[in-house]
Order: sequence, then structure tokens, then C-alpha cells
Amino acid sequence: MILEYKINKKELSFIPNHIYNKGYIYKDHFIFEKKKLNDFAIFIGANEEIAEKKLIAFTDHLKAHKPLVHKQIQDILKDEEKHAEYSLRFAKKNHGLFSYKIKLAKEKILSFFRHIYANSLNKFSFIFKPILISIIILISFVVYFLNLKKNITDDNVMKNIDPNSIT
Amino acid sequence: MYYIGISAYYHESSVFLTDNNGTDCFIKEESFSRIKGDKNFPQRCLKFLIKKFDLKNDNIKSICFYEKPFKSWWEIFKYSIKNPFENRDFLIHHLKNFNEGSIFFYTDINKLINISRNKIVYSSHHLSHCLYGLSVIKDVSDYVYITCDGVGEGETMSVYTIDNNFKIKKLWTNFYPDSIGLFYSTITEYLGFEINEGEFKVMSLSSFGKPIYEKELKEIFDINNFKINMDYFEFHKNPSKSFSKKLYDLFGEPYLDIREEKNFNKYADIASSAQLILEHTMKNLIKKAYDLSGKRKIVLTGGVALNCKMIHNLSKQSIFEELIVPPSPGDSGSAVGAANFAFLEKSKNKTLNFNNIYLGPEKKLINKKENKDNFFLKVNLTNDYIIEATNKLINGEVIATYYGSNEVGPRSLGNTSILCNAANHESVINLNLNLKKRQHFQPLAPILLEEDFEKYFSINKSIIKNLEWMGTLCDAKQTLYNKYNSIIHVDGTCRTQIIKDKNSITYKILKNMKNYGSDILVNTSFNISKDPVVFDLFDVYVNMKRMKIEFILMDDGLYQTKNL
Ligand SMILES: [Fe+2]
Ligand SMILES: [Fe+2]
Repeated sequence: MILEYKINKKELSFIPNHIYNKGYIYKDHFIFEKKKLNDFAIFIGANEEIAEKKLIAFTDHLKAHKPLVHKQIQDILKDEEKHAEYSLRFAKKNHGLFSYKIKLAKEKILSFFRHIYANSLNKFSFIFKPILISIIILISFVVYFLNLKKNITDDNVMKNIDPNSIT
Repeated sequence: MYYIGISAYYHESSVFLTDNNGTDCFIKEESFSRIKGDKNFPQRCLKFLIKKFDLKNDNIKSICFYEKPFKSWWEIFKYSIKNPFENRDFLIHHLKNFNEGSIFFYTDINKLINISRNKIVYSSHHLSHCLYGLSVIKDVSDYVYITCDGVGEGETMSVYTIDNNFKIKKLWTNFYPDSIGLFYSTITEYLGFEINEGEFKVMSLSSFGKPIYEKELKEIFDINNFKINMDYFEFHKNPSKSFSKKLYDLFGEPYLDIREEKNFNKYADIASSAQLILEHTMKNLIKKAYDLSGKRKIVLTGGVALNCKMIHNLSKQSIFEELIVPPSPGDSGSAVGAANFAFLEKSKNKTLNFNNIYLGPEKKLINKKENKDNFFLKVNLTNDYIIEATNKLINGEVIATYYGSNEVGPRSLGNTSILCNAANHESVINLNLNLKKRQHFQPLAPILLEEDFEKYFSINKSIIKNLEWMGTLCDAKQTLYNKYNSIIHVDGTCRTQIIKDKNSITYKILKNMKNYGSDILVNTSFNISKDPVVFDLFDVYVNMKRMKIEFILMDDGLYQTKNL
């Protein structure tokens, strides 16, 4: 499937590091390690539902010119639906109805904000851009006047290196 | 007392722990997080080590990071800031990433272990590569050490020598952006493959084409003076694309679909030309290293050294007496080099001892005992399990292996592999395309006993040592074509591995196979195409189920997956 569909004709690849940034995986633990099983089931249920909706929107784009991929995604969607259904059913059974509803709503809201946050990373950059640009201009002046030398050779590498320094 | 080396934040985080007294443990973050090429700070690795070796401030001699964090960030920034306006996108991107990089290494470590600040040391990028090279040789003063990679701390090529008292001299350095590694990566990206993964594909692809673009590419990279023509590149100003409009004008549209024959041929020609430029450059670099040092024995490290086709072709030019590329010459192997730096820095005139190339943890250190019974059925734990496994292989069965210590490099060397009988054409094709989901132009690699090597292959003696860890290609002889057709690359080469250690299970199986008239097995790493290699028994089980492999050899016998 990856070969079949190329965004801008470039090999489409899923870069897992991005999901760190969006807050789905934490750097030091997996979500299922941190959450209780019941809460995790709700998390999965809520998010799979949202993922399903997003995927449907995505496949509508593809339907016309990539029918094969469209079909493959449909299959994934069916799978997704099952995941969501199973985990929600599991959660319902193990929670009181009231706490189930509240927690589900909470996950949905969280997910909503997560998407807003992820999508706005670019939009809000205009605030930081001027600051960053002024830093860059400042550094460029400093560099211009500093004439930094590079060492092409080194007679005694171990003696000349400072092991505790980061520069 | 333990020495710990860490390589992280840039590409494939890894950690190496050693007491220089028989305990070695090399692990990668991707093994735990199951994210291929995971480059985050190796939290999970360190937690594993802390638990298994009870690490604390008292039993750690020092922890060494493989490069100078600020320098490596700064050197790239420094180049782009000469034209701040033109390169603003890249500069902003790079500035934003300041706090995500290795600058806060000490803080990250300290979250896990309370360690005194003076125990944290920082090596230098190319020095770590070079010191890792020591792990596979004996007489350090006989060699000249060449490091060549994309970029590390602003350096792209370095030449070192080391005398018997371990005084290290740097004879020459080339600087960013004049990098043959970045040149090759850019071509990789232009062809539509992913950087860091796709270079192997470009290398395989290059065998299908002719180097008809040699002249054009020589304009782009000056092979005699090691200078790059930046008109064709954009990696200094564009954070998401590395080639410029000019390359586009020269070769036409990028990212074509290589399943069409016309595109395939064109791309193969470009790949072939790029490969040729790389080989010429390396040849000149080796000559330069000889001129500077007077030594004809070479240890080559850095990401560029992973190009085994280059190693093979260079050996035919008789420009060196010996060329050794250690099993993991890229940045993840540098964790070993960093630990070596820490040791050398303390002891002044000694480096670590390395007894073998399998520096990873033993399988029994990784797993809880009960997991074996939870996931697997015992098939044969008696002494003749080797015979039973051999029988299965002869009958065309694909068998997974999971024994001994883990490998260091990107290639599985038998201990964490999938094997099948190389004489059985059908199972080889099935393994390659269906189970492993590789591309048809990347053939699988053979593994055989050292004693049988000459019967089927030929290789120049100067690079023969690399065969122990698949570090080079070699040529197929006619005898190989007769019987083991399916493992030969289109240009008549194979990425062969030879087995020497008579106590290893792989050796015993190969020995036994000979009774049935079959000398060669196919050996491929134990993972599905884009996943990391299996680590614990749970991964083993999941991967076997997904690839529909039924049998597995472990340290004590033959097992079968349970149906759970
Ligand atoms: Fe799902
Ligand atoms: Fe490197």
C-alpha cells in the first residue's frame, strides 16, 4: 500500500517519531503501561472512533483515482470499528454507566484538544518567528566578527580533548 | 565497575555497557520501543540496564556520550548562518530543535540515575567511530583509521593513526558540507527512498544500471578534492528537502514510480553513477590516507562504510593490504566507541578488550523463564534437535533462530535470524517476497561454513575478515550458479557470511546440512520488513505468527509456536 500511494509522488512513510510530538506516546512509557486497563479501553474506544472518521474523510479523496488503496483502507476501517466496539464494550462492562459516560466524554475532549494543538503548531508559529529571526540575526553578527578556526590536524587527540565539555 | 557508552538523538539510539571483564551488553532503543530507528534518548534501554545490572553511582565508572552535543548542533548552524536570509527556514528549524537535541544529555540521564557530574564524559563524533573500529583488530599501530559519514560535529571525513601507547593522531579532516555521505543520501532522496533506510536500496539498485551519468555527477561532487557543489543541494536551507532545483533540471522529475520499466532503468542508471562516484571518492580518500600515514592496512568506519558493494569493488583495485569495516560502522555502533573512549580516558594507555563480535545481551538475560512455556511448545529438547531442525530445513521449512548473544550491527548473523535451505528455490523466494516483504532487487544473503567458502565464492584476501559479519560482498563461482541460483545478485555477487565458531548452533546445523548434500543456508534478520529485529520472546512469538513461521531454534532445543 505504501508503494501504491505517494504524497507528492514521494514514498509515503509513517514516521513514528511524529506521534511522540502529538502526545500519543510518551518518551518513557507506553500508554497501556501507565493507564489502568479500564481507562485504556476507553482511551482506545474514543480515539479509534475519531481515527475512523478521519480515515473516512481521507479515503473520500482517494476513491476516484486510487480505487485499490481505497479498498484497502476500507478493510482497515472495518478492523478499526471492531477495535473501538470491543474496547468500549469491555469498558462498559467494567465501569458503572455513569463513570463510563464521563470518562468517554473526557477522552473525546482531550483528543479534540490534542488535534487542535497538533494542527495549530504551524499556525501559531507567526508569534515565535520574529523572535527566532532576531536571534538568528544576532548570532549571524557575532559569527561574522568571530573568526572561528577549524583544526584539520591534531597531534594528540586524547590530550587536546576536554572530556567534560560539550563543545 | 561499569563503563557505559551512549549514542542517541540523531539516528538509532543505542547503549553499550561493559565491565571489561566478560560482561558486555549492547542494546538499541528500538528493541524496546518497537519503533524502527528510534532516536529518542534511550530511556527504555537504560531502565533495562539499571534493573539487570543494578546500576547506581557507586558501580558506574563513567558514562560517555558519543559526541560533543553543542558542537554538533553548532557546526551545522554555523554554515547556514553565513546567509541568514536565504537559509532562514533551516535556521529557524534548527534553532527550535536546540532543546530537543543532546544538549540536555546530563539532565536526561539524571532523571534515571543519580550520578555525579564528573562521571559524565563526552567523546568526539569521529573519534567514537574510530575507537569502535578497535573492537575487531589486534595490532592497533598497524592500521590507519578512516572515518567517513554524512556529518558529525561538522566533520565529514577524518584520518587517524594510533600508536602502541594509544596516542591518537588526527592526520586530516574534511568539513561540512563537503560530504560524500550527504551526496549519496541526497541521491537516495531524489530517487524517492527514505534517507537512512533507502541507501541500501540505492546500492542494490545500482547493479541494474550503467554509470552513464558519471560526468554530470562529477560536476556535483569533486572526487579528487572532496568538495561538494552546493548549487545542487538544499540541505543547508530547507529542513525537509535536500536537493535543489538544479538537480531536478539535470535529471528530470524526482520520485518516479520504479515499477515502470522505463523509470526503473533510468533510476538504476542514476544509482549506478552515484555508486561509482562514491567508490572513486573512497579510493582517493584511501590513497590520501596512505600518503599521510604510510600504512596499507585500513579500518574504515562511519555510515558510508555500510556500503558493502563499495568495499567489494575497492578490493579489486589493490590499493590496500587489508580493509576492515566493523559490524556496525554507523552511529549506533558508536556507543561501543564511546565506552571505549571512557575507558581510554581513565586508563590513559589501554582500551577495552573485545573477545567476540556478538556484544549484545544473552537471550536468557532478556527473558523471564516462564515466557518460553507460555508461548512455545517443546518439540525436541534432546541432543538430536539439530538433526530434526536440519531435516525440516531440507524439506523446505523456514526456521527462526533465537539463541546465543545478540548481534551489534544492522545485520543478523545467525543468532537472531530466519533460516531456510538455499538450494530450495521456492522457499527462498517465498521467504524474501512473502514473509519478509522485501523488494525483488534485494536478494537474500547466504551463510555457510568457512571451510566451504572457496568452493562457491571468491574474494580478495584483503577484505576476507569482513565476511564474518556480512561486511562485504563476494563473487559467485559457477558451482554456486548450478545449485543456489536464487541467492545471487544480478551482478554476480553475494553478501555472504561465514561461520567459524565450532560451538555455535549455526555451525552445527550447517555441518549437519552437509550430510544431506546442502552446504548453504539463507540467512535474513528476524523481523518483518520495516520492524526492528525481535528482542524478547513476546516479539518472537508475534513475529512468527505474523510471518507464519512455525518452528524456532533456541539455546536448548527446537520449539513450536503455541496457538493461544
Ligand atoms: Fe485500531
Ligand atoms: Fe557518524
